[in-house]
Amino acid sequence: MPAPQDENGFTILLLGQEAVSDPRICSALAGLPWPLQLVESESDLRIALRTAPAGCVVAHVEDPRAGLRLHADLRAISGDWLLIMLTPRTGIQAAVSALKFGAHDLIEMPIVERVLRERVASAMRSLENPQ
Amino acid sequence: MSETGGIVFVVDDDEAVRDSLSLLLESASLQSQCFASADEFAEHYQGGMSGCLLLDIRMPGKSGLELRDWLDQQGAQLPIIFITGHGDVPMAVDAMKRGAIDFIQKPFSDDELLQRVQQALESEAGDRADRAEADRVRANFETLTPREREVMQQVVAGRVNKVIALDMDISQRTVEIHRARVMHKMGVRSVADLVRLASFLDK
Repeated sequence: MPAPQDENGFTILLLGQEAVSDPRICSALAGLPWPLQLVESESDLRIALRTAPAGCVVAHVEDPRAGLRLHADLRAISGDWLLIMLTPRTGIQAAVSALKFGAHDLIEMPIVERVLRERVASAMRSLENPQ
Repeated sequence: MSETGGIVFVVDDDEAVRDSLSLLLESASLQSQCFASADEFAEHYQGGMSGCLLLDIRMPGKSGLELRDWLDQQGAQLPIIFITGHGDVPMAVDAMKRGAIDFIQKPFSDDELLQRVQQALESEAGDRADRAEADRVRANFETLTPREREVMQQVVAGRVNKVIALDMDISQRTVEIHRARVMHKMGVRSVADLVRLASFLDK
């Protein structure tokens, strides 16, 4: 199914079975003024990325370092996607590595809905108004 | 001084940390200057400083993050490595998102710290060289006449002399003369080099 888009084509893709089945995460993102698409697997993500030109991928990753492969995949498809990692277990150095190697943001789980909403909105606004 | 020509500025309120960092950097032939507070460094700061900043996050008075914001307002180009003894993931993420090049927890290994400092110095030296190149390109571009700039734009866009002549309603010979002057003034011999330099003008 093609990804829904706003007038600029920006979309939020929520990736990972644990994330899409978490009602708090879904409700936090659904309240934002950009279309939200739930994507359970990375193969579904590749399909979604082909139909939406830009936006944020909010991905549940067990280890931020593992999420770097996802970031490389995103860069290979398009440079216009920002990756925000939601991770249940991480240390400082793993988080720093993730950000050094290109993740836009990293949020520890369990998430606080307000924090998630603000960080994703900030990322989307940075895409809409690049400096 | 390091091969990159930069100085490592250490800002930490702990004298023992400053002393040990200074010795460590000296052992690696890196020049350093130490400051006991963010305000002390801010007083010393001058635009155009080259090197990198080893900056403690939590200090009495202005914090490391506040100093980073202040440096940003000054247009400083120094890469910042934050160091902290009481860090957590949100703090590290915040520091990195605010433009830090790295974030290291105390206690750190000497090798790890030196490696990251070297990376920061090399990155800053590379950026400095790029800025100098961009300044040179812009200065050369300023010497072009409006007509020469127009020809350069068309050459960079991949157009051949014949097409440029038609488009600008001038003779092919005139285009050739303008083109030769552009190449001379910009200091290049090939169109590929001209295209590369033109990319600096967009930055």
